[in-house]
Amino acid sequence: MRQITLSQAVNEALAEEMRRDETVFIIGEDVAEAGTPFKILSGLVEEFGTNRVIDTPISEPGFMGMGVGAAMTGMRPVVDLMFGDFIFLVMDQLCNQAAKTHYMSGGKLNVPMVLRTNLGATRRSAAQHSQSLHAIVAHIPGVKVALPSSAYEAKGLLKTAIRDDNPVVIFEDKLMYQDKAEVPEEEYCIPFGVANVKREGTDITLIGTSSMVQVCEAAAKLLEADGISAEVIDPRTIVPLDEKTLIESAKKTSRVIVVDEGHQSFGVTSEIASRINEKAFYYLDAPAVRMGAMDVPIPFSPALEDITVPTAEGVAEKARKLVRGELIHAA
Amino acid sequence: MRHEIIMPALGMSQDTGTLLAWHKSEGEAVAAGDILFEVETDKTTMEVEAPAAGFVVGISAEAGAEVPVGNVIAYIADTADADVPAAESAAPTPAVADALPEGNQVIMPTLGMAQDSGLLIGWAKQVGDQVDAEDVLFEVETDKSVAEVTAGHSGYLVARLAAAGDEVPTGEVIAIIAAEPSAALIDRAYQAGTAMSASDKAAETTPAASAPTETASSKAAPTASILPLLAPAGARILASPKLKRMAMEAGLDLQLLADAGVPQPYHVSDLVQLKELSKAAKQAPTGGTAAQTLEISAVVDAGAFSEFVLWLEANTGISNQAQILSSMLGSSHAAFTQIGVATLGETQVYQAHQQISGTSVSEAAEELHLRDLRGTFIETATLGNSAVPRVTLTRRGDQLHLQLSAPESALSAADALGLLNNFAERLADPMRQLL
Amino acid sequence: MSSTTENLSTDSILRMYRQMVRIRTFEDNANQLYLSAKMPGLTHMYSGEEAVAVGICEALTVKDKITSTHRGHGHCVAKGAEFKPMFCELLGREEGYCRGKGGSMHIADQSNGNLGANAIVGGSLGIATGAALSSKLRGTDEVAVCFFGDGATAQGLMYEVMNMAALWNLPVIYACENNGYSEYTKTEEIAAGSIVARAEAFGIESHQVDGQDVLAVNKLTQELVARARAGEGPFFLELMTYRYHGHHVGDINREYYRAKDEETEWKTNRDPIIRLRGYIIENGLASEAEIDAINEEVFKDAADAVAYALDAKYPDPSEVDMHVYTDVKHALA
Repeated sequence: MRQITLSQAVNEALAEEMRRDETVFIIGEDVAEAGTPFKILSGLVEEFGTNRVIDTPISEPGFMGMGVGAAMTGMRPVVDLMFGDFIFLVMDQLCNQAAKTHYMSGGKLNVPMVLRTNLGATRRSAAQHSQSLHAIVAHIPGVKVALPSSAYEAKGLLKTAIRDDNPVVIFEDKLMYQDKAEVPEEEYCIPFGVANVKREGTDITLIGTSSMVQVCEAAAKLLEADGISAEVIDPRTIVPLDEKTLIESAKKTSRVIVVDEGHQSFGVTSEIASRINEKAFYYLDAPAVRMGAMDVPIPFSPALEDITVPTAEGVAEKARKLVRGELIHAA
Repeated sequence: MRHEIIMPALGMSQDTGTLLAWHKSEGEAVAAGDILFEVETDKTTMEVEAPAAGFVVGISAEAGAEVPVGNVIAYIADTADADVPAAESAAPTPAVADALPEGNQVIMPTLGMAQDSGLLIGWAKQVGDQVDAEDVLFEVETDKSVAEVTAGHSGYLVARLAAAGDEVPTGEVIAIIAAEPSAALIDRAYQAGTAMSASDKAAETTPAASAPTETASSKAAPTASILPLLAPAGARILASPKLKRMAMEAGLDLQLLADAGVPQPYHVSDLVQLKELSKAAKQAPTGGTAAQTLEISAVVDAGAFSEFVLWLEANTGISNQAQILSSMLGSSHAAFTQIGVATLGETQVYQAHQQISGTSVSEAAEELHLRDLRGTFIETATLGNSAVPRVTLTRRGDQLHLQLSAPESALSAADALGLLNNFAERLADPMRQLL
Repeated sequence: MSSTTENLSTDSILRMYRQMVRIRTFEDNANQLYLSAKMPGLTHMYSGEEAVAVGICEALTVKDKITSTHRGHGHCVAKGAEFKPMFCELLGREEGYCRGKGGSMHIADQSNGNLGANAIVGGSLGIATGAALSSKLRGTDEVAVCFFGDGATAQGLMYEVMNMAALWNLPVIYACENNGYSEYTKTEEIAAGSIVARAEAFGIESHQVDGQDVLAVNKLTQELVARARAGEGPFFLELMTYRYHGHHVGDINREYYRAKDEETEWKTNRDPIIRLRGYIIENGLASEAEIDAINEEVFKDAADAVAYALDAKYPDPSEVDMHVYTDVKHALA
């Protein structure tokens, strides 16, 4: 099968959906001729024109709010937020407006809007351009949150997001834009709330999101050398969350590590580990363990930045301890 | 059509309002927008306008009254002599309200902004008193301010439905002023749910009121289901929830792992060993090693036995003290015939017999162990678990100390006491052994 | 009162009168519900500002969109909403416009183009501008009107979206209801310079208009709506008006920020309903009796709706996790 980059996959998804549905349009900073700093959208303005690939001033709350209004009145905007960190600028429009409109109107108004943005550290971008803030969005009921882990997921999830009648925020890992994966030529969508078991195993379950899926897969390989069989699962969307698949796997292997690039405290790892501890408790042979980004602002220096995020070696080491039955965190 | 004039919820934290003055009197014509009355709340005075044109009737709160917000204090009717809905207002109220005398109702006014109730400081009028609408009827405290509430109606105070110190929800009727004096006077403390606004409020709060009930029932359930899991609480053993569940399902005791010295925490990988330990424990005649141990001791004079040994050797030639002791110990309890005797070294088993001469060396497994430490410097010894009951014999000065230690599973407490006591008796008076 | 009413039929003027009376009556009843502790929560009264909502909404079609504010009952009524579902919503009943999930500050009436009231000051500026963008992208001639107060002019979002609306000639009218007070503070204490000048800085045609003169508001809006449909938008209106009540129903102790005399002056001499009534009589458009009949009809309508709403049922508790997502019936099931 052909291999394309995650960036190309996103571009393809947008182009296909814009051809299919003329209410789909892109709005954001430097999305047209510039094609965004990551050049993800290159070529789209040429095909669809400036009416459907709309460059805005640097006014995140403004164009986000306009996306909400357009979505409420018959359009399907794909709002482009250049860096995930800027989500703090649009919180009112996203969380007070978009997320609550359907509920507050008793189901009368819909906001079929996609907010495309990114996450991920180790790009030497320091604390305001390196955050992984998906947990903050997932905390607010009414928004769906998708975390593609490869070009294949990026395309399939984005197409589903655009067709969804709810606000959806997609966080792409900005370090993966040039990563290639097999993506079929033919059209496909990936349903939300369906986890992908990337690798089956019997001794431990590694649940990873976004680029941490790669980390988990690499860790699984390291563990294989030690005779430990690791199962790797990618939830693909955290809202909705395919809890069933995660719980079943936890029951089967009886050990779980959840790996996510958001800050560990009050984050995605906490939520998933907590659900597993609640719902698979009597099947666990060890506590479900969280491995998130360190609870510090992301530092600039590579020497510091690299130790803030989970690595395959770190995950494998933690997995060995769990499988060996070492006492984890029991003071 | 009749409009209700209601003590308004003006402030943000207001439960009652103090009716400062009526600008219209009973039966007076009003136009919509006319100032009807003044209310004090949140330290300010508000003029309340008539919501419609008509005639003011059925004024039930006198000036000075602190009226709960939402309470009807008068009506605007199409005619000056329209029926005051005393009956109607009492209709939704159960029995007690029916017993209230007719007249203008005075309600606890809403004054503050988030006020649900007012504290009745005191009454300025006694029941039976004739009151003027402008007379101060009672004093109310709300939102840090104290307000005097006037009667609002002229007539006779026939009922006081709250007492000084009562916290009364705003809108509740707290007094009734009748046009005519009455012999049937009521003067009582506040009783919730008797005033006309009470039923309204109950209906409003129905959805919320149902919530605590659910909470209560959901609280009860988990307590019951969690208890069995907490039950084996005694010794705290670190084990994974999965192993605990599997052990519980298989009826295995994790304590066996701890007793066997297996390091904690335990995981599913320890299950095989746990099963083996459990099997061994069940096969062992003494039952679980973890069982309770009986410890009994006794003291007898050493002299009698020493003399007996010398006498026995002189008269029968028997000098093996192990043989003598085995015979005596074996005779102390019917259950034991194979007695293992040891001093510091190897154990020799004897088949005990009532007759010392009939007691001889045996190849069978010991059923009762006797450790004879009389010839050593050892005064006491606690020697840990052994599979069979054990009697330790030591000598201190002129006394013999006897100590019986036995797993409870091997010997009942009564049998153990009997055994040691019999043995002590025989040592104290060895000649009995010959009888 | 504006004398240039050549474009307005008697029917239109009487309809505007009725609509203003409906708003005033709705608010009077809502106020009574709050005062009598029958309404949960707080509410913000539109009384006094009726000419703004009616003058503007009467210049719109059903398909035109509006966004509204926490002081939104007036916009909702003016855009065509019915009393019953409005009162039901205020009382949190199942038959409310939002099934009791929105309440006073969030009434949305999509069937009449009302995209909803917003409890975040200035929160709907983006939504209204987006609706205008949507109208343009979809190739319709729908106009969006964004109602907001003078307080919202302090929000940065306003300047972001006005900038874009002006850049892209969006069919949006920013209707700033300047009622003189930003919550409990005089507008002059929170707004530097001129409010219309701020819109003018973006090259947006701006007007200051007497918000108590419904005919003037309507006439100007009709012109601007027509021009917005023709691609000449956006426009900015500063409507000088007055709120009779406090910031909200519980805001009774107002002496520290405004004088009673001032309130009396506006209520007595600048009331939009009294003024239009005078105009109607003067010009022989209707008799006193006919106007009274309109009033009575509206009063009765409101009284019936209130009675209905008070007896209407609350939503079933099972609704609590409905409408979180469009495609999931019960989000927590």
